[in-house]
Amino acid sequence: MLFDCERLTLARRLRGLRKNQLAQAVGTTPKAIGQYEAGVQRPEEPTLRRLAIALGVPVEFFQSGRSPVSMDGAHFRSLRSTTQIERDQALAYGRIATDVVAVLERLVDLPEVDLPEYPVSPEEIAGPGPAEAARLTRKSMVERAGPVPHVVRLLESHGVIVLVLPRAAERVDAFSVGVHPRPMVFFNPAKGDYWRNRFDAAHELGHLVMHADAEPGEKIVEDQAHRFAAEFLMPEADIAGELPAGPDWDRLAELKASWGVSMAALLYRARTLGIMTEPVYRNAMSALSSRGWRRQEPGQARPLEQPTMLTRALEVVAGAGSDRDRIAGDARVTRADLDLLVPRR
Amino acid sequence: MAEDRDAWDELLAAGFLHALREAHREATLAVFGGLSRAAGFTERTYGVGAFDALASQIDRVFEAEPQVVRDDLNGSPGWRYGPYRVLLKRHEFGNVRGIRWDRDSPTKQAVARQTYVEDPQLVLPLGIEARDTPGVVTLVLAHSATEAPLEMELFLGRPRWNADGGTAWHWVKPLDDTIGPDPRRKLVERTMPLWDDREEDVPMRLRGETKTA
Repeated sequence: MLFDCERLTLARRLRGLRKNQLAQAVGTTPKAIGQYEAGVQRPEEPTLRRLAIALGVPVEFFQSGRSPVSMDGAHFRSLRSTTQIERDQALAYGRIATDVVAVLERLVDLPEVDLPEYPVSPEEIAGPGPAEAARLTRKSMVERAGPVPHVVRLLESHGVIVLVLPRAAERVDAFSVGVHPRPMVFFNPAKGDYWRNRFDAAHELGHLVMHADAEPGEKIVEDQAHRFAAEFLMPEADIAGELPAGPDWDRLAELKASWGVSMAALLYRARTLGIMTEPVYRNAMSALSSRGWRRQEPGQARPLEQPTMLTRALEVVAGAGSDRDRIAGDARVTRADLDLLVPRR
Repeated sequence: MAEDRDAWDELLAAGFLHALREAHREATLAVFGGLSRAAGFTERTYGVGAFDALASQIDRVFEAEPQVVRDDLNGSPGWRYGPYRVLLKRHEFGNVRGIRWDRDSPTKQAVARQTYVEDPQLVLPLGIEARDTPGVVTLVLAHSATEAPLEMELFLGRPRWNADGGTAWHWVKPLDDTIGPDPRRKLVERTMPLWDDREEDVPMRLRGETKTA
């Protein structure tokens, strides 16, 4: 078997292990692991087997023959709060997802990738770029005015792969990758907040539309994606007439339910559109905090928007005789990892 | 009063019995999964491994349950819920009723000598010692498993001092699938579905299928 050193790095990252942890698990030194991963040395058969067991993958996982996909352009939120290990793990999931998608694409016609492009300079601090990009995107993707019914399905129907981060990568916020043949958005369901996840999905769409070239993680770039999401989910032309000028909580609760955005987002929107004055906004936000609503807003909870494109694709190919085990084998991922990334229903 | 019924009902309602059963399953699978006969492991290796693994698994299942405390007896691992303490005993598969407590460790001997009000034997002046820990009834979780085919046995009971060659238990009951639904599950039941499944999937077809299909 030809050993691919990058597959070893991938498996280690997938399990969120440091080199010294893996070394300990297989009874070798971190230096040896480093040499295997750098391709300086090839592990002997027994070591290879121990590595496979420690990493929970079949030995064949390390076989060469898959072209590497770069995840360098991934847009991560709040880079400081997550560790390198956690980000590497999330990206490793992204990486194996691309292998699964590549196998599926040989068998099914996934929706064509159809996203508008509207590059916004990463130097543009308060300009109109993000709002214009959002208006253009709505025009090409959403057929009607008013609330967007289902952001995740909208992304999927335009060819974007939407995935849910496995629990292992819980501290990583939503992120997106645009460089790959198919754009991918990962979101994190850990907080179980429908409104927040919708905003995350719109934010990531903003990166895909505006930031193909921008350096990920810059504060300005993140702010642009937020402004994109605000205009995309709450277009000025449709919502300006509905927003209250004061902290009318009943009204905000109604708008929250119909637009699918949080009260905090609505207040923020009212301020940026100049409907609510700065002091009124500040008072409203402090009321929100003192009532404990920043943690959990009042009103009925809602189940999260669920990505189903890959689940559906696996059902379609299963009908034609390629079950999950076969797809996992062809993609050279473990069945357990496939089930984690693409749950059954 | 019937101690067997009281103890059983209380431990069952608390999910204690389900937790023990879960721990036994996990431990058995872990040990059989990790030990290979081809590599020279024997029944005895399994026995030692199973004992340790079971103790670790029981600790794990009770991690988030403050009502259950670790309560060892003379270094023998034990867990207590209310007045009931449970110790472990691995028995020969199929022979739980043949355990000889008088040939077991001093700790198990002491446990088997606990007073038992419902046993008429105790009214006789046999010189049997009082119970080991005041206010605590020590029960024994008897566990066993075979590898091929994979079968597990788990019993909870009150051991009886059987130097007389008589029965090994005042009472003993199997902890198997007949114990009913797990009451602990209520604690983690979700009040609403995490995911919304009403929205239609994106349309998709196999490659090569005609567009009108």
